[in-house]
Formats: sequence, C-alpha cells, structure tokens
Amino acid sequence: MKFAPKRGIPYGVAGQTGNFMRIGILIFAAALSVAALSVPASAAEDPVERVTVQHEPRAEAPPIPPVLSSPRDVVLPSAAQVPQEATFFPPGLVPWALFFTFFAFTVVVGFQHWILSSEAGRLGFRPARHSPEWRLMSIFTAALAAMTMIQLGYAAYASAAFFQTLARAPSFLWLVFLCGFLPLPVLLIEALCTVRHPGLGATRHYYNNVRLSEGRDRWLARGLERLEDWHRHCAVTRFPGAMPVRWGLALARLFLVYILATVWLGLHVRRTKGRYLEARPYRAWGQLAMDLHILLVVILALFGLGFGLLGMDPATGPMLLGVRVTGTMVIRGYLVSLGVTALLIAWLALPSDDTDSFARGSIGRLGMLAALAVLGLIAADIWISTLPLSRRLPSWEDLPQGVSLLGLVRELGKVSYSMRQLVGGWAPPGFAVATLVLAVMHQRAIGRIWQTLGVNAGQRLPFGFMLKVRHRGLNLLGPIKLALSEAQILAASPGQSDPQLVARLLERGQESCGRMEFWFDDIRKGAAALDWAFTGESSGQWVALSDILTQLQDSIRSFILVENRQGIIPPENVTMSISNDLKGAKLDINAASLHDCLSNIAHNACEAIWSQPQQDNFVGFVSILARAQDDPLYPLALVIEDNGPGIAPSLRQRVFDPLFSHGKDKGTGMGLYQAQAFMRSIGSDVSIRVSASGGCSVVLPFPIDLLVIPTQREVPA
Amino acid sequence: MKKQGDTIVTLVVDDDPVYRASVRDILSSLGEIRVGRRFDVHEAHNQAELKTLVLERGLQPRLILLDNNFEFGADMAVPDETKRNEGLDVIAVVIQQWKLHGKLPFDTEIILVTAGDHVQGDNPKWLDIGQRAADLGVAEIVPKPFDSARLFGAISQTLGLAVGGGRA
Repeated sequence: MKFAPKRGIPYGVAGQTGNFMRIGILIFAAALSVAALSVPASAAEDPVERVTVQHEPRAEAPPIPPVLSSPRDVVLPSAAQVPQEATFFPPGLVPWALFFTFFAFTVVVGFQHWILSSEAGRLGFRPARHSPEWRLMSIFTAALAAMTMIQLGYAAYASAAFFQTLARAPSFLWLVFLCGFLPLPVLLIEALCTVRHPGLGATRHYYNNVRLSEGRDRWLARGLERLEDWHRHCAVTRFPGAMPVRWGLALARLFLVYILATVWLGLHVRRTKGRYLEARPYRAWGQLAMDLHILLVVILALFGLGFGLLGMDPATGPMLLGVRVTGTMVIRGYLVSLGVTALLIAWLALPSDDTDSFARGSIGRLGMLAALAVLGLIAADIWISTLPLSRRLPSWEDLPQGVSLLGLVRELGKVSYSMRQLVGGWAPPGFAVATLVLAVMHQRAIGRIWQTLGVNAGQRLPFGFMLKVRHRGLNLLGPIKLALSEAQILAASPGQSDPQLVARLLERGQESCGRMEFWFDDIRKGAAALDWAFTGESSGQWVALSDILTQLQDSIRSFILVENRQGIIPPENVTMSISNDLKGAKLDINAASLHDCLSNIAHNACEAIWSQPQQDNFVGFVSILARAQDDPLYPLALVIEDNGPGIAPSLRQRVFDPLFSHGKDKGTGMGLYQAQAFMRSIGSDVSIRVSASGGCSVVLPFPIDLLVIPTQREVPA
Repeated sequence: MKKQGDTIVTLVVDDDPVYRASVRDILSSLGEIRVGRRFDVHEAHNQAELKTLVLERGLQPRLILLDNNFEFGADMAVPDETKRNEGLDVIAVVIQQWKLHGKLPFDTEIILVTAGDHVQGDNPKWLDIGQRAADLGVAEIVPKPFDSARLFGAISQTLGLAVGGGRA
C-alpha cells in the first residue's frame, strides 16, 4: 500500500523520533560506561596515583609563560609520557554517581517526552481550566521543569568530570572527538526544523517532509489519526505570550552556552592547577567562572520553572509550552555541553612544542572543527528561534543558516571521505560513524528537505499566484475576444459571419464576464489572505449569529442560480437547510471576513455536488448548522455539510494549501486557504470530516472569547 | 471514425468548456466561409479523454487544437501550474502510441494553444517549449486569447488552405 503523505504530524508523535536520537546517544554513553568498567581492577586500586601524569622534575620543567592567555599554552604530556596502566575513570564515588546521573538523564528526558505526548494524545488534551486533569498536568509540568533543570546542573558537572578525565588519556582523544560530533545530526535536524517552521511543533514538520521509510510513515500516520485534534488545539500562534516566551527561550539558550563554557573552563582549571598551571591569573579566572556558573545555574533553574508555569495556559495546550521549553533546553543544553567539551579538549590536544604525535594533533584539529561547527549551528539555531512564528521567509537564498546547514553536511561528508582516502581507508571509529551519518542524512533527508523548502518557500507563493491570475485571466478573455471580433466582422461585412453564431458567442462572452467577476472576487480574498491582512479582528460591533446565517443563505442561493448555468443539476434539485442551536448568540468578529470564509466553504460544497456523476432523481443538499458544543472553550461550531463525493483522506490537509485546487471548475485554490487563515486568526481552525451521507463536513469552532451566548431566559421567543 | 472528404476532422482539447464551445461553434459555422472547408469538431476536456478518443476509439483528426496548460488536472500541487506542459506531454504519449501501433504516418497537424507566461520573447522557458513543440511536430503555436481571424489564419497556414476558401 502506497502511503499518502500527511501533513500536520503532531508534535507528540514526532517527539518519539527525537527520542530515537537520544536513545542513540544513550547507547553511546552506555558503551563508554562499559569501556570504563572494563578497566583492569589493578588499574583502579589506586586510581589517584595511577591517573596522575608523570611530571618532569620541577627543575627541568619547561619555562611557564608569565601569563597564560590561552589554553593552548597548557602543556599536556605526550602519549609516551602517559603510563600504560592509566585509567580514565576518576576516583571516588561522587564522580561515578554524577556520571550515571548524566547517563540516566538522557533516559529520563526521553521518557518525559514519551509520557507527555502519549498522555496528551490519550486525553485529546485540552482540559478545562481548574479541572482535575488541568491540575494534574500543571503540577506535572512544573515538576518536570524543575526536575529537568536540576538534572541539567548535575549532568553538566558529571559530564565535565567525565570528559576532563578523558582528556588526560590521549588514547581516548578520539572518543572526545566523537562526543563532539555525535550531537551534530541531532542538532542539525532540530535546526532544520526550526528553519522550516520556527517555533512549537517544529519537529513534526521535519517528518512531514522527510520520509525515511514506508514503515515509519505508516506508524506516523496512525499516530496522526490519534493526536490530530489535540495538536490542532495547541495552536500557539494565538498565545499572546508566545513571543516573550520565545525570546526568553533564546536568552536561556545563550545562558546555557555561557554556563557550560564557564563550567568546563573552571573545572579544567581546578582539576589541573596543581599539575600544569601555575599562573595565578589563569587560576583566578577559573574560580570566577565557577562562581558565575553556580549563580547562573540558579537563574536558569528559575527560568525553567517560569517557562514551565507559563506553559500551563490552557488556551495554548498546557503541555505544549512546558514540554517544548523544558525539552528544548535540556536537549540543547546537552548538545552544547558536548560541543563545548569537545572544543576545549580538542584545543588542548593541538600539537605543542613538546608533543610530537601527528595523529593527536590531527584529531585535535578535527575535533575542534567539529565542535566549532556544533557551536555555530547552535548560534544559528538561537537566531532562528527568535523569528516570529508568522514571519514569511523572504527568500530561500536569504537563508544563510539553511544554506550553510545543508552545505555543511555535504562538505563534511566530502571532507570525511577525503580524509579516509588520505589515510588509506583507515579512520577512527568516530570518523566512520560520522561519515555514515552524514551520508545517510545527505542522501535521504537533506535532499527531500531542500526540495520541499524550495517548493514551499514563502516568496514563491505570490509569484505563482500572479502567474495563475494571468493565466486564468487570459483563458477567460478567450470567449469574450472571439465574440467581440465576430460581432465586429458581422457589423462590417454581414456576409462574412453568422448572426446566430454571433449571438451565441456573445452569450458565452457574457458568461465569461460573469465568471471573471466571481474570480476577481476570489483574487481579492486570496490576495488578502496572502497579505496576512485577512483578520478576524472585530469591527467593534456584535454581530448576530442569525444575521450571519441569513446572509450566508442568500449567498448560497445566489451562487446556485448564477453559477450553475451549465444545468448539470437543476437549481431546484439542490436543497439547503439552515439550523441554529444558539438563537440570540452574537459574535464579536469581523462580519465581512467571516462571511467570505463561510461562503467559500459553502460554494465549495455546491460545486462538489455539481461535480458528481449525474444520476436520476439526485437531490443535492447543503446543510448549515450552528451547533452548541460541550467544549467550554469552543461552545459554538458552524458545520457545513454536503452530499457530494467528499474529499479523499489524502487530500484533506492539502486542500488548505494556497493555490491548491482539486476537482472543481475554475477554483483559484484560495478559498479554503483563506478560510483557514481566518479561523486561525481568531484562535481556531478548520477541520474536514466525512458527513453522514458520505460527503464532506466542514467544522468551524468559535472560541468563547468572541461569543455572547444568551441564557435561556434571554433567548428570544 | 475516419477522415471524411472535404470535411476537416478537428479535435479541440481544452479544459475550459466555454472556450471549447466557442471554438467549435466558430469552426462549424464559419469554416466554409473563411477557409472553404467544413469542420467536423470533436472535443476532449482533458488528457485522458484525448487519449481515449485517438487511441481507443480510433479517431484520426486532421487537426488538433491543443491546450498546453490544463488548469484543472488531477492534482494541483505545484503552485505555478502554468509551468507545466500537459498538452505537449500528452501529445508525446499519443504519438508514441501511434508509432507503436503502426498508425503513423498520417497527416495530423497540431496547433498548440496556450495562455502560459512563456509565450513571448526570448524567455528560455519559452525557447525550450518551442523546441520541444517543434520536435513533436507541432505546426504552430497560438497564444490565448485569439480572435477568429487569428484562428483561421493559423489553420489555413497549417493545412495549406487559402483564407477565403480553397487550397492555397
């Protein structure tokens, strides 16, 4: 079975795959721990003494510069100076415990995402404010935020100690390099997602565009069916605090970079001051960095807690912000920690005067490059994350981060391949893995992302739209021009033309004029939607729901009479019903925009009926229902149904794409796009379902804050 | 369906029913007056119908008036559908099938009708399409919108007919 790509994979489902990434890192961490445990017992008997690097006698030590301005000035022992029995694991229980905290932290984060997404999906999550579920999830979110921050602090220290120890064993330097490189694909994917759709739910778009396997697609599709509603309600664009949160998040990430840079620098100074560093200023700066780190970790924990609390606004989906903020911070913090570690250690591994190991120097350089790349990506990611949610990217070429990311993968792949060629096919394990990852990413994922972004980039939309306007306009002008030219010929030389023919041509020209009028109206709506000027902002007046429905009824009648000249189905065979469960209800909404939105959908319903194969005694119907809902946040829904052929499941998301037109005569492909833009502008959305008759049912929920619903006593008789 | 004596069997392929009806009316009513021939006009509203008519029902039109951009095809995923060339695509398939079934050569002439954005000037896209059309044996390309004089002019030039009646 060929799987039709779905749009709108929910964050929760996509988050699962992010967990796979983390699990990959987890496996790597497990491998490291196994390696550590495999150290001979004799080597661990007196680890302090054994780990200690043999120093040159003080009298013979190389002169130390008066002020060490760079870690490169630090003199590391050469490989030959390291005793063979050296173990890389630090002494004592505390570092061990910290290391396993770091190890467990990845597991915990993965499970957090899994639990949150599956729970939210199971609940169809949007609990009423102060409901038991709301309280439960609020507490859970806050606890998650706090717990994650604590984990992050521990993880930072644990990983610092771990990698610091690694750094003293030159034979393990390639592992350090690997540590710096492994997060790259993860970060790359995250950054690409952010390019495509900055903000919440970015990851899911990656899976819209990148289909790694048919099996995965089917799995995602099943998840989509389950979580679709939840995700739709989690539209964060209406959340007034979204932008501050995003800026705050970006700031927090910057804090993370700074914190983690300082903590490793400080730790390094502390651990090595008795051995390699004698310069007082260097030590002082390290102490200061450590103090700053402690201070900033406290600030960061408060940040995380605050964001977790912010994420509890039920209007935005309580889970989403909390999950995203904490999850993103933790993941990126983890990546940053690895990147910075690799950078510092690789820097130290650069060849100095008394190190003659070519391999060590080369690996050091490569590790540094990799770490720099990671940090560069993080910087790009931070910048991208500050883009407003609704901002249209000006042009694909103007996306240096996207180009650089894609180019980086390609170039890194080339470099890794060349390097392996250079050394006769040999490469350290990390290098081989990196090459494989790059190859897979480049071949399968990046090309597809590139293609999708190229097609869907915002700047192409108006251009395509204008071309379509021109194309359609010229087509509609055809019958008019033929009619006029023949009329002219008939007037000039009656024998050269046929009066009856001219009459028929003129009638068709007239019809074309009518179609042009409708079409130009569509263009206006489409242009408004493209311009983001189409808004549900109120004109300051309450509009009665009954008036809206009456106006819509008139519009449909007029449409049926005017548009259905082809006589496919006689107008009398199309029935229409309107019912209103909420008599007396009023909406604080832009009535004209709402009318456009509703009439677009209703006209589509009429055209769907006409597009059916003709059958005897077929009676089409269009039903418009203003329905009261149990949902406290969306108590009113307008439902427009027809008994047309319906919309295939594979097209239900695509029909909202701008310029997408399917199975109807002369559509601009802007109607449903505009309807969706309108509904989103009022904090809601449009959903398409199968009606009881097998046709199409379009549901438009209206949020409570735009409604006045009279009590029973106020309802007019 | 086979070609008839002085009647020119013509196939109008376009997705716009109003356009097809107008062209059919003009050719049927004015053919004898303008170019001295009667036109037996058939219509196809999409690529599938064209293939059905010429490959399954055996229609051998003397003239095909072929739209190049079908706005209302099966899938409109590409924002700018005017960049596609369904007309040329389908005619390439038809010619290949004709060759396969040994029905070529017979004297079918094709006039490509298009409202695409690449019809004028030295636009590389247009040069490509022009080259491809020439390779497929398209006799003439007529940009939309056109009047009856332009239409009959293109037909008479393609079929070697004299405007006003008779063979040139």
